[in-house]
Amino acid sequence: MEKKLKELQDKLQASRLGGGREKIEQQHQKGKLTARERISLLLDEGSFEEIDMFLVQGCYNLVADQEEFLGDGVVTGCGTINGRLVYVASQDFTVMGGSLGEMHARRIVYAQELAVKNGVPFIQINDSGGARIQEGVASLEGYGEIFKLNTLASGVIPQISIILGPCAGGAVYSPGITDFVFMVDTVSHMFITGPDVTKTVTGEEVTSEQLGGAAAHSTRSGVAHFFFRTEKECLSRVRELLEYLPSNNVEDSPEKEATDSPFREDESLLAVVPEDPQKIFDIKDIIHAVVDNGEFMEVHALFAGNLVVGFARLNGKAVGIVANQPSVLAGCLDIDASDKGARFIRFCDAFNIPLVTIVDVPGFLPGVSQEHSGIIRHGAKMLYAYAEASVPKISLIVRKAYGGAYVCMCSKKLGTDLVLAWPQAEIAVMGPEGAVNIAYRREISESKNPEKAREERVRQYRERSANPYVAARYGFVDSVIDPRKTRYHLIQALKMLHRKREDRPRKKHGNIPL
Amino acid sequence: MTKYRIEIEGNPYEVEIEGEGPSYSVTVDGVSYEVSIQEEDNKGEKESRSQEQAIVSSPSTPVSKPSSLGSVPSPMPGTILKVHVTLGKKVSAGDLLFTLEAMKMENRISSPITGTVKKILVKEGQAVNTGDPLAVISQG
Repeated sequence: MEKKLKELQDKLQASRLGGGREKIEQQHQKGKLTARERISLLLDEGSFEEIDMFLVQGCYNLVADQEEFLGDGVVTGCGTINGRLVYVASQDFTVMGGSLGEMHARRIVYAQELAVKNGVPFIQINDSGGARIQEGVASLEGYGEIFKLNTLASGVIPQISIILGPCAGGAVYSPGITDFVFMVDTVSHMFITGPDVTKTVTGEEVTSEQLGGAAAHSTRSGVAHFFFRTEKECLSRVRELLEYLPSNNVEDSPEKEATDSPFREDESLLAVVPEDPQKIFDIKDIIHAVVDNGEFMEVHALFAGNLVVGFARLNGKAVGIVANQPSVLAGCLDIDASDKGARFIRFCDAFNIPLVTIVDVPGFLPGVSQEHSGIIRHGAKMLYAYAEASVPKISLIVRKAYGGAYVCMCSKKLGTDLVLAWPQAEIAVMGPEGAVNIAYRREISESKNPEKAREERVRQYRERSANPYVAARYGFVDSVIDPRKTRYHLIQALKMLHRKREDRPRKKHGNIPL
Repeated sequence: MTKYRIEIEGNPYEVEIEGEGPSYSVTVDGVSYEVSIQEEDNKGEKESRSQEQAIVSSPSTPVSKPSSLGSVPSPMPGTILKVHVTLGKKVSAGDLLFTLEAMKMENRISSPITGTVKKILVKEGQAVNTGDPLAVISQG
């Protein structure tokens, strides 16, 4: 028996060592943590339970002189984050470059299955050279199965991808399906075809960092939702994100005891929107002033800044915030902002997180490139996502709510449950200048002093129509509120809606414009 | 600015070249690149190749590390309401360069990098489109 125990101990130790001490040293020299170090930073101390430690690579296609690695280049299991169960899979670059073979895939898939069966989040840490060529088509189909499970788990449990190394070729599509992608500057790289192939085919010379680094994906492509400087900070922020999320689609987000009074008023909200409608301001000033302790976890902070989305709490309850940002692109909606907004809204709806929409939108971004790149089909995603969402939907109009872009920000009839407005809100088909130019075109052009006539009509229009009371008359605005008491009114609105149920006709699934 | 229409393997390209060496701002079919010319060291070695070799860096608008010459494109169609800087002025990243009136709003166009204003390519009152270069900031 003693011999048997010794064998077990040796095997456990071999599995834990992954690619060996030398490879671990190399990983550290690159400034990267190992698969296991990452797991221990991510999970509560000592909570990790590993599974499938004895899987060995490529049972069917073993190359004769190949070394055997227990665990096959990925570490899987479960543990807790702030006491709540999660499943993890962390690829081990020290074992054959973290390449994905058949058993490697089987380990990941089993962790995914257990996450779904238990109704808890699945978190994957990607650090892999890609498919393991020696195992051929078996490794390819390993990806197929992972993608399928990612898709079936979508909207059932939160899925998070942390890219901490290369993630290239087909491998990118697993993170691509998951709900949130975290990347670290200079450590993470994601692309379908790398710099070498790119150069051969198109002649473009780019570095990995320029092509698929964290900066590129956080600012240009929108593939990454979060950008960090270090692995440590990244992993600790994953823990923070999970505090806002329920474990699955039939639970609510965990409540946090509020230390911030629901009655707190904020004088700064009287002055935050400039009197001159042409002046810009930072919408985040409003968000920080109304949410619990000013804490706002922004998603996609560096991408499509004209729309701000993220998580916060109101009186201890998690909410998803969607807000126009007047200081970027005048706060217009465009293609990227629509994609960003729609995906966030659908996440919140899938996981029972109420939506708070803050509106100051002058319209859609005009231009040939927007039209030809399909703003109609992309803007439609926002509308669709809002209309489809059955979670409590509250909106707050702080200034401009113009035209189709306002409808896109979930107007009353698109499905907002409660529309609140500040006294300076203007809800209209378009801004006063545009409206006057069309409605009074003839009168203005025939006037002796067209400029003066136009100004007079604009002034009249602004006085009569550019206020929240016209819309309130029709019930399109439910409440006009004192800006200082916004926090209180939002919390009350959430209370009014906290038992909301909305049944829809059964269907296989809708056909959201993609 | 000099405009060229060139054909490579049967495909036509619209090319605009701006600047006076060794660095140029080159726009190919609407995508702009910062290009610098380097003399090849071994001139005798390859006579058939051009003695000047273009080193193409990343497109100038995006990504992680801004190139040493920062072209500032217009983010949206509109009218330049005010130019806040003069040629040769030192600016820090985030400093206000232009006020762009668009969608009846006064939008701030700030410097993407810290450096010196090398070129101002627009006048007050001028209409601009998305991607039009407004200024060039050189690093340092």
